[in-house]
Amino acid sequence: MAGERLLEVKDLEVSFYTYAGKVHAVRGVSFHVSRGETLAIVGESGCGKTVSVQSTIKLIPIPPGKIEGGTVVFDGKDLAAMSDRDLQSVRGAEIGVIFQDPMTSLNPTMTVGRQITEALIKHQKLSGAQARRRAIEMLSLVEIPNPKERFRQYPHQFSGGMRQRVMIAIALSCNPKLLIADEPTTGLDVTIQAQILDLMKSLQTKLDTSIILITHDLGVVSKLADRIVVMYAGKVAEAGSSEDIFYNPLHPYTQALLRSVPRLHEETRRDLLAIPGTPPDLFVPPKGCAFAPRCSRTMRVCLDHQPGDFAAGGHHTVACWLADRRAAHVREAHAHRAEAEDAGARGGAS
Amino acid sequence: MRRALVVLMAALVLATMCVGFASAAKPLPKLVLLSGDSQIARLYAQGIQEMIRKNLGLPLEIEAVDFKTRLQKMRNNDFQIVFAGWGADYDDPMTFLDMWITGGPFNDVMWSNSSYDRLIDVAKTSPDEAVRMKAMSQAEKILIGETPIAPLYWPAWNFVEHPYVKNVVRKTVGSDFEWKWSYTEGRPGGDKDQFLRMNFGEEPPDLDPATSTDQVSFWVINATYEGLARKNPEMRILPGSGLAESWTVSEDRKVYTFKLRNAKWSDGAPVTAYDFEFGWKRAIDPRTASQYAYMMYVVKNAEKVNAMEVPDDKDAKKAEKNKAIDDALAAVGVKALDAKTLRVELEAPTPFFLDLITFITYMPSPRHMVEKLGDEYASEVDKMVACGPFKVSKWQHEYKIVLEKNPNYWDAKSVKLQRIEADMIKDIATPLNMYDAGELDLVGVPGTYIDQYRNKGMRTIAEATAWYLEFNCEHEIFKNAKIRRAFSLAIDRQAYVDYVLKNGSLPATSLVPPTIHGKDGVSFHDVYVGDLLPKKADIKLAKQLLAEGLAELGYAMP
Amino acid sequence: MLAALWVIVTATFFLMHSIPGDPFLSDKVTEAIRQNMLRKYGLDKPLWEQYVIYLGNLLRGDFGTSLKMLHRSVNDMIRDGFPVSALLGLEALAYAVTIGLLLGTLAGFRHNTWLDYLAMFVALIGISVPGFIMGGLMQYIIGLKLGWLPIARWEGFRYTIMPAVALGLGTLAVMARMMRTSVLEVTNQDYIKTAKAKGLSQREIVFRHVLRNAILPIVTILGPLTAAIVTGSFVIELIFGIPGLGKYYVQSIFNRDYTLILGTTIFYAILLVFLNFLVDVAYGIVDPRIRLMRSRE
Repeated sequence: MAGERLLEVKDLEVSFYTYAGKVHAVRGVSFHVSRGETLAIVGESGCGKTVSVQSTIKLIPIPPGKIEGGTVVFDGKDLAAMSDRDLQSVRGAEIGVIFQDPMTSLNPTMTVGRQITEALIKHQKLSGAQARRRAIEMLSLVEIPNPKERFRQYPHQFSGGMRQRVMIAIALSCNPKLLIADEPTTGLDVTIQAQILDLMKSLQTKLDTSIILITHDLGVVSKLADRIVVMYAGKVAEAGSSEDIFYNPLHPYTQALLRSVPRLHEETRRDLLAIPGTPPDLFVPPKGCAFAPRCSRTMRVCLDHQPGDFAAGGHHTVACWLADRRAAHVREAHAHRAEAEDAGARGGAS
Repeated sequence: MRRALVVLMAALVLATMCVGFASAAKPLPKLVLLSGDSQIARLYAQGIQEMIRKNLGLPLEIEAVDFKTRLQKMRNNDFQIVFAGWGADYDDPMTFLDMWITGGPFNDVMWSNSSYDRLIDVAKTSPDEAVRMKAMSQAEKILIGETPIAPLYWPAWNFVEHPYVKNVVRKTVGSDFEWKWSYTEGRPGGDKDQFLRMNFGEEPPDLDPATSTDQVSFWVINATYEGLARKNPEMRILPGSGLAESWTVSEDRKVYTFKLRNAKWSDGAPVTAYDFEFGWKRAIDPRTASQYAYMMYVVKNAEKVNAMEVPDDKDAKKAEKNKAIDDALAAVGVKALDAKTLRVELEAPTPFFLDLITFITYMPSPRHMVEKLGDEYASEVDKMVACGPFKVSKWQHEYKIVLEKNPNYWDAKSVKLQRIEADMIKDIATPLNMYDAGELDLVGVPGTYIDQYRNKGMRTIAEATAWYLEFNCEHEIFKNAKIRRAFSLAIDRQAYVDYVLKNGSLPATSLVPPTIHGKDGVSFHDVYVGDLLPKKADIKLAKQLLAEGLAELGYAMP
Repeated sequence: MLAALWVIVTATFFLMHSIPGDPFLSDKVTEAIRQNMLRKYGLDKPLWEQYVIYLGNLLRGDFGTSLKMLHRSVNDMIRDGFPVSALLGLEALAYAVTIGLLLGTLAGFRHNTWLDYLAMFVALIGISVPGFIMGGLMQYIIGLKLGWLPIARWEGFRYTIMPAVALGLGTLAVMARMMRTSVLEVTNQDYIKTAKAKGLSQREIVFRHVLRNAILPIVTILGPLTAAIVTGSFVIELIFGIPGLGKYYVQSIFNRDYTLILGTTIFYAILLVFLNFLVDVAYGIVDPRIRLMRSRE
């Protein structure tokens, strides 16, 4: 069972038709999630991670959005070809979603309990009393105290962290095979963040749910993710296991990302490394590699041609010309230079 | 020497200037015309304003206020010129003329002329019709000459009725409609069911004849009660036309004795002379506070009793005062000698008394009901009875009233209509639409719609009403008769009627309208008065009079 | 609440006595008789004494007799007229609210389509064209020329259709516009996305999530809106010959009918207070955030 691909997304293209023009938000993205595993999709704001994932169950507004191409296969079903009506039996029942802002993600005029039982009654055809019991179970599962009382209460009576737990309860109530967590901790206090992440991890084990975790926070990723996909400007830059990405990042973007995370345990006083430049305008997508203008190791080929996915051992792939056989000499030159820089930086600080 | 001459010259010039200043005229104060504030009222006032400006060169401001405010200002003497009108209460010139006697209750103009007062007195008391006519026409001449009021126009009323409506009599004096002899012929749908559908326009505020005052109530009371006489379609008053079979008049013409016929109220109780005495005394009794009590003042002692002091509830001398009123009422000149005989004694010979007895206030009151119900009499259908051709069968307040033929009416065989259904729609356009759709059988046509209905069989009837400008004769400017006359002559009445009113009204060349009858039933105005005012303006004379008048008062011409 | 009513009574009482004229002033009443009439109805007493007497009667629920319709009590007039106005008003409100909300919801969901533009066009007409013009037009075209509906009067359900339409048009327009805006706002909220992600059908999302929240701002204005409609549009009742309360508001002042003026004003004030109270309760039911805040107080 493990290793079997639950969700397989291939060459997904999504655009938005706005007054200002057509935005190519997702330009050929592929990823997959297997049973029981956690996939993290990281990237900066606007890189297309949310759109990619939400498009799988057509959660984006269509219009102005439009899925231009690609396939989405979930548990043997082609979701991209399904009508919205048919997708309703997938949403909530087989794929659950939790969103970023727990303060606004719950209906203020409906009791929390009802918001949970809604899904249960719809998908599992439970009676009112059965659904109620199950909902209260879920509330205690997400570690909300006094679940019976809380069942009857309204969202504004919960704190931010509690609300996110409720969201998790809703998302997992029908025992879905896949949970999509779209920036689940971004709107929460750091201390609460940790709690929520722990909760998600324990639930995953209990319920054997796969998770797609969308985030821009690498710290969150390290806790939960089995595999990581790094996105930039609507395309996948690099994908691999957690070890691959953290210990052997190959894409210059990934490397810059990792470098930019401040490390508390080091005593060095380095400047915070920001990546110079800004992401490209997706109204007119670039011809070549989208990161090229900001990359420190751009080659001429990068500007003219889009790199494909190069295998880098195991399930590690990277979309960078540097990974091409023909660029071996360039890689070596960069490696030497990097060592020197590191040494100099460390030396300078002490 | 030369210096002395210069000083003398200077002194002379100075002296002339001083004399000049001393005899310089005062500037004219602001002149204001008081009018109502409806669109029509403003329009009418503007017509006058324009004529005064054009023909006299005087600026006239308009002060438009609402109905009650205008009346209050008139009562307080707080006006210069005001637009006013008067409708005849009975068919005799006196109804228009006795308003202007010195200190008269309706004399807002504060005008006083002893010759006029004397002539009116003669006309009120003389038994000789010819003498009366002469006195009244002379009085009117004085009135028009001195111009405390400047008559403007005699209004007309326009209406349409479907061709199957027959014999709806429109009286010019008193209540407009008379349905006793009406019927329908040729109604689409057949004539088996005889009925009329009309619009009264508003809820009748008071269906009690002793206290009622408004037009709509009068229509209903005239149909549901019968007085001592009823005017026939030719407007004549004949013995036997009402509840009095016959009557005799004393030599001095002060005492009338009426013999009543057998008649019943709609509940079966007999109508007796006691009901007449009771009803008339109710109207006269100051405790009833009837607005039209003054119509009864021709009856001996009526005015005296009506002016008596009414005690308050908390008055210590309440019982005493009430007894005094009761005693005084017993001495009033109306008495039922027996159930069928009514004796009326008047203050003075009153030639138009027979016209008065057809007036609403002179209707009988059903004693057996009023004594039981008191103030509540006539407030609901089940709290009233009828002795006239019709009775009220259904009354939905503010909405609809239905009159049905009264089977107990003494002359029921002459009544052809089974019922009259009347709405109370106040809007002016809606009833016209309903008429066009065949939902109403007849409808009045307001001025703004005359052009549309002119070719649809519209008829015009002259009312017994006059509209005029009243001048405040105590005002610094209008106390001068020449100035008043100037204003009156500066108005082009024909043009005013043709271009401002546009509704078939006639220019008023005197006060009493031609629809009022004099001796032998002729038109008082046509035969005895003639045109005292020109139909067109006499600008030359007006300007001359204005100049003279202003000079007399010491005001400068503008 | 009672304090507000008392202020209204007092202010109205003294204000109405300050304008010139009285109920018995007429061109055919002599001064002596008028004084007698004023005395009979207690209007010759000093003003403060009249005020105290009136308050005394008021506390017993007696509004007095009309000073124009001397045989009718103000209580009866209001009792006869109010149900008519209320019926007309509620009918107008019913269709205006349902059609208005429907139009607004459709416009909101079909944002920027022909349906949206059509709905907003209808709303524009409703707001711009005064009720009496619409009423008069309908009378002429539908009543007279086409003969489909009666021109005036109040005899049965068919008679209520045109006046209710004319009366409610403005409210319909307001409802449509407000609902559209509200729907657009709510649809963009995150919890709608949550609802969709739960796998709910479009219909379930619309009814349970969107509408429930979109209706909140509408509820607040329903109170004063209802009071205004229910106490009778003067003009609509006038042109359709409907025996409601509407005309009393203007007529009473014209006639200086003091008891009727006070009676109708107080009635309106009480109605308004009551309706606003209902709205408060309704709002508490619909929006749990308000309800709980209150119970915590």
